Amino acid sequence: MAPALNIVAVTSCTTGIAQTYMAADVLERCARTKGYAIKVETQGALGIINPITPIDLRCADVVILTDDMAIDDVARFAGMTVVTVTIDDILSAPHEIIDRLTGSQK
Amino acid sequence: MKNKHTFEYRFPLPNGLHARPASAIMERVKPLGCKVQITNLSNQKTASASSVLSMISCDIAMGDQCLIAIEGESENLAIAEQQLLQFLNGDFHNCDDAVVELPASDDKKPLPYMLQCEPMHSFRGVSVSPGVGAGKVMHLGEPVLMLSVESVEHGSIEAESQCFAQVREQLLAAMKLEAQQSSGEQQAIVRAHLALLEDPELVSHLKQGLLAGLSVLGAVLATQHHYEQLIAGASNHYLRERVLDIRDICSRLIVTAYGPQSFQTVEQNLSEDTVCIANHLAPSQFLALDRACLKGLVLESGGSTSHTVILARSFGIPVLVGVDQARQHIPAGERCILDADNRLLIADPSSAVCRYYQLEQDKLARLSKRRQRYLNDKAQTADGLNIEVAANIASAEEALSAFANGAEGIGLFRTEMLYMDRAEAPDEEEQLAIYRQALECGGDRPVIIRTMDIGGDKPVDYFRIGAEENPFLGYRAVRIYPEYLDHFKTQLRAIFRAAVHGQCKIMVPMVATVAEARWLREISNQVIAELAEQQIDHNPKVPLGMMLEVPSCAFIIDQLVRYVDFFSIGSNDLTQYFLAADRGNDRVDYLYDSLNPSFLRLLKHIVDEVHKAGSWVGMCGEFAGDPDHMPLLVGLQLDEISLGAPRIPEVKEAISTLNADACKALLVEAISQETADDVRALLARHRQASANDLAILTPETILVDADCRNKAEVIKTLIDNLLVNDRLIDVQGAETAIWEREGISPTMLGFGIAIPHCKSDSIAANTISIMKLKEPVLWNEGDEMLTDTVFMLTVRASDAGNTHMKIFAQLARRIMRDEFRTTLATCRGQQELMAYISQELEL
Repeated sequence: MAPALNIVAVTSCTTGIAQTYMAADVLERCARTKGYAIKVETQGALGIINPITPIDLRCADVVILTDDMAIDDVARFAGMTVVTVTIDDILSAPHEIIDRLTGSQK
Repeated sequence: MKNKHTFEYRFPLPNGLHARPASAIMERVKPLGCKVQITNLSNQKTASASSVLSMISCDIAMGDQCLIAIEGESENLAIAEQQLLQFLNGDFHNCDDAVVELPASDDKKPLPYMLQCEPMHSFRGVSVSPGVGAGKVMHLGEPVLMLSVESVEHGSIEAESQCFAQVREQLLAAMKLEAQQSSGEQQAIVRAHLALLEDPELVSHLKQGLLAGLSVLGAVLATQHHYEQLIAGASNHYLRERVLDIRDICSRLIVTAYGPQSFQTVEQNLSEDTVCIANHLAPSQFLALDRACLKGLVLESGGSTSHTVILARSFGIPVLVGVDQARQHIPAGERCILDADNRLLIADPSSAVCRYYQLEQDKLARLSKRRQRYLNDKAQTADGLNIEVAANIASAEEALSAFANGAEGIGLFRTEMLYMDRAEAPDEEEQLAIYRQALECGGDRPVIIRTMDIGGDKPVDYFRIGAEENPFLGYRAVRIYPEYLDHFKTQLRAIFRAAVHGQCKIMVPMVATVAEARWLREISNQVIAELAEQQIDHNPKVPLGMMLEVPSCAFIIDQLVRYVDFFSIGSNDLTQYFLAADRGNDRVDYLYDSLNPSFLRLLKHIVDEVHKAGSWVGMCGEFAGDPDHMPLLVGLQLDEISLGAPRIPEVKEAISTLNADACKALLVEAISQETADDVRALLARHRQASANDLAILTPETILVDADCRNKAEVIKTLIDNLLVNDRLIDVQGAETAIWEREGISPTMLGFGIAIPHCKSDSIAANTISIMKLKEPVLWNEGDEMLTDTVFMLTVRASDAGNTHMKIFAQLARRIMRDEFRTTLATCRGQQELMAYISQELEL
């Protein structure tokens, strides 16, 4: 059975050494406990890790982007449902963010 | 008909209502013909505006709301009130200077974060000898009253009263004359003092004393005491210090009555940790102080090259100069901290400020423990190249502490101090004793005695050199020796005679030509011949060397070696002569930079030439005293470096981490750079490369049971720990980077965990630091989240995408997981934590 929701996300924080990865980790685990599929691309000191592919994009229902730093190549998300949050939002209230997605998704 | 008006007034002056503004009010009120009273509504104290003292005792500080009552004949009252208001809202604002402290923004280097957060009563000066010291304030050179109430003649009440009236009239007349003849700041102070002497309250208090049967001295002292007590209770620090105004007036009354001998300056003994404040201090006065108790020195005037300062530096005593009127601002007996590293003099420090200095002291103690072995070990690079590390001294007394600090010799014994602050030159016997003392102290270690460097910038009365427009390019050092040949020969004789007591070398400053070198050799041979003829015990085989500080010499080394046995590069003067930039001129001092690649090329040329000629070359001067420069100095292959003794262990340690071949390659790269900043960047990269081998997490970077009281202490402690473990390029830069990141948004994560982090050029080695706190601290202003576990990630700016980054990312992900945090909370010791995290991160 296909997951109820298919999420792609990009995280990127100011220095790119800590919160980028913390946010990715917490989003991944939170979405999975709810039975959703998720792929998180990190744009940090390690460069782009786990990049979102065109196929990922085609399957995705919703996009989460952090807005602490400019995200590389936002154009690829044009026309999609994009939810913009801060890294701190993700770290402090990941469940609320995921829950909000079901409402925002058309 | 009499009438009374009142109005409220908010006191506008930053230093409160002290003598100067109070006397300005009094002068304005006098011609109004009205009675004016001021009530400080914050403490309900009331004063008459016709008495400066009564106004001062109201303890009015900036911002205090005051009620001003003006009483007089009704027809004049409105005009008088208007005039008074006009004054108070106008000119009055200009009758005092702004707060004495310099704003922190004036400084290029910001204060450490912990100090920025703390309100301090502090003063800025110019740091001329680094370090931090704390103790009670002692004013040096302060005159002491030599009379006592019992010892002075005591006439009848009438006689004493009459005498006092005369004395007061005489002093009033003298001060009025002074007020006329002075201007600006000084005039304002004289006027303020004059107002005190005319103050009805003060005069009536004095007269009461006389009527009670006191002598003039007794009455003056009683009045002084009375007002000292009164003002000492004021809450405003600046007002409390106005005690000095009263004291000044009383002293002048006493001197007028009993003559100038009433006060004398006596030397004081230090009996506890003391910070001495003086206007200026002669080297002899400095040496007379007990250095075990002397924790710091503040000079109101005096530059960075005075000999007292040179002495203090070599004894490791912190010195701040140019702290204007420091004695007026900080009373004797008050506790203070002198932080020369931050150009700060802090009066009556708060407990938070003391805590900062406690942490600093802990850090320094750990650093010096780490470097302890270099007190005995010789300086040697990791691959076994020796470079002698010697000390610069300016008196024989210093030799002992220099050797105790690990000096392998004395590379520069400046002798001009022997000649200064005295009426005639020291004779041969006196010099012999001094040189002998230093040589015996050295034993078989070399002591290089530099003959006197006296001239325009270091004037000595009995050498009639006079002021010169450009003393650094003028008549000084070796250039004056032919005129003062007797003095020079006396010095040489003393040195040759002392040389039988140790490993002595002679060095001559400012040699610029072969002719001078040849002349020096001739004179030296003459002196030896004379000593031999007179059958005076001496050592004729003392090597004769010269300072290399005039650029011309770089190109005649092959010729100079015919006459001199060794060289020592005086990097300070050589830099300023070579780059034609006066380092005392702040408009061109940016040019004065010994890291300028052209200067490094000059140094390389000099060392190569000297070695080609089979001779020996050292370096004395500030360039040799900076541990950051060691890769270049080792790369130059200098035979010796000589520096201020306190930095010797640090410099030896820096050398021990270097590889001589790598340093030679680095020097070649350095001289191909285009700017001094490029060289600095190159040095930083070299430093980072050598830190590459350090593990990202070690037991040393884990602190458990840490006793930190707040976030600022946590960050300082963690950063200091990185420094102690040699993982930083620059402490302040690293701390600033961490706080800048916190400024964007605090890194509190919840779960009692905070993760301060930064990416910065100031980091030498990528590090994970972990701290478990004894007591949790508040991390964010404004919320109540407590932190008891801190992960600090410090990353080099240049690194990206390497294995260290992966570890950081991995750790970041782990921290988000419950099971990781739970296990972490149960780990107690350093080892246990280390083991668990290593396993989790697969280190």
